[in-house]
Amino acid sequence: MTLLKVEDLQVRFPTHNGVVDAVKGVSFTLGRERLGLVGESGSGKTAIGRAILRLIRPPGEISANRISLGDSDLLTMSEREFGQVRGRQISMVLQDARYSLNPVLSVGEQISEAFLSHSRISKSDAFIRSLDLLRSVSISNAERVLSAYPHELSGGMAQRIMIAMMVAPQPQILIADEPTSALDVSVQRKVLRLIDDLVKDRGMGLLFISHDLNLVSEYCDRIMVMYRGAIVDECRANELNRAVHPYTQGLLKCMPRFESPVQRLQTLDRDPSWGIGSDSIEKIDHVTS
Amino acid sequence: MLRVENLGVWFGGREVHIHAVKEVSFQVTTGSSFGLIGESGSGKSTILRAIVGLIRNLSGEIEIDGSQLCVARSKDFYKAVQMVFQDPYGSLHPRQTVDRVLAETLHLHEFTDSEKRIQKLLDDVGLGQEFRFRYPHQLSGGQRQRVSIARALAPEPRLLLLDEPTSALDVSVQAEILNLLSDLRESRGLTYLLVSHDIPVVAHMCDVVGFMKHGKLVETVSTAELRRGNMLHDYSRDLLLASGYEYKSQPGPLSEFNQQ
Repeated sequence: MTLLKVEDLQVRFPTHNGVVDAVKGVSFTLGRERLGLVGESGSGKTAIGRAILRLIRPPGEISANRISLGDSDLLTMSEREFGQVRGRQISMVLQDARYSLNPVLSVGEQISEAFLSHSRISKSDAFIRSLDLLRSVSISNAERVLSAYPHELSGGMAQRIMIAMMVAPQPQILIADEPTSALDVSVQRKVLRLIDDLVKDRGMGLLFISHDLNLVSEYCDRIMVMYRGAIVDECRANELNRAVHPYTQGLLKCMPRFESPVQRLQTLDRDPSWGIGSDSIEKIDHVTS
Repeated sequence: MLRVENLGVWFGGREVHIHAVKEVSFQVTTGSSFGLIGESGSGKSTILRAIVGLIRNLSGEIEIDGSQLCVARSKDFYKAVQMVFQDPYGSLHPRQTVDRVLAETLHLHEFTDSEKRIQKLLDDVGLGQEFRFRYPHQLSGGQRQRVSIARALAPEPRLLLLDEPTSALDVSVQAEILNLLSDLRESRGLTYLLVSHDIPVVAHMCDVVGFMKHGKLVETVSTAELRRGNMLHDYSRDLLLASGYEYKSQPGPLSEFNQQ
């Protein structure tokens, strides 16, 4: 069953040196599944997540043939209508939760705010719900955490709170943008398990954005590989080793393998033909490289 | 080359006293490569900072080539030991060109032929002359890390302290930097002390690996033993499991949803 449908999505940023096409005509569908979106920094993976939620700031432009959630067309919605979608039907978990939470509001105030803006309940009810919510993401001393400020939390704790807040309005789709890359490996596992449980319990669709090919291949059902604003490869996660695109193969080979030591690591030879119509990005690259 | 004996580092005043590093002892022989692995906050970077002299609150002994270090590091020390920092975006002066960064280091170490040396350094780290008059913002992350490495190599050190040199970089760029570091170690006979949380990277680069937990060095094993999984301590084994991404999501109710 398809929840989200994206056709020919383009994101452009006009700069002094010409227009940068951050996303160049990307199409995909997302059902009730874990879809991984992998790519290097600057490949446009975050831009896709943000474009779906209309979070690209001007002068950045979004255009698409179609972005739809179920039967509703997200492209033609007014900003007011879209407010009902953002956060309630599609929500997003960001990379570094401690920076993404409001530093001058206590955790309790922020979570209650999420409840108060999406449902009509009293403040005290919102507080009780916030407590339950924190317990649901296995935070044991929930009362103390509610009165804490973001800087008083560890990275893993803050990320759990962020996830709890985003999942609270029962969205149909969760976009997780590098939710664990700022965390330690041991904490990473716990956070991944948490997302996994929530997604499964509620039957959500998950768009998991990451630069870590290993992680995505073990965590997701399906993988899309991005390079310079285009999706160059798409496969089932368990068939990643059989990926055909030279870019995907290159990425797999240039990682040091714990089990099979090598003298030298392979490096990636970039072929200019990967990713289509990449003229303007080439131009920018020329300036910086 | 390097001997650390009973090193302790503490932070804070009288009331709050945090021991970031406790009773750490290890040795790095000349020409070898030693790796320190641990979670964030385990004190691995603190050890590097203590060795290089950025932290003064320490106890224990640090010896370089048999001579014990005093609190104020000598010029000879900085000629022998250099450090490469984690974040290539934060560790270069934003308003100084590559040329100036390198020239300053060479000047401080009283080299007179800096012109020739800068050209050689840039070639050695695979950047080439066209990068000489660039500012950091005109460089990519990998290129900036190459500049940091060139800067560290400028005084011709024998020991390089590497603090997560590739954790801010993409895997494809990481491979290039790791290869560069291996090549430099071979051609210049360098000794490395590498800190990382990434076990595959440490296993690739190092001969001996130490596991850090809560400021203590819990275990030191050779890389061969590490690959075989011959660790005595549970913590080392747990860390290995965690970094192998052993966690697999189970195909569960999701597929049922799809059939509905």
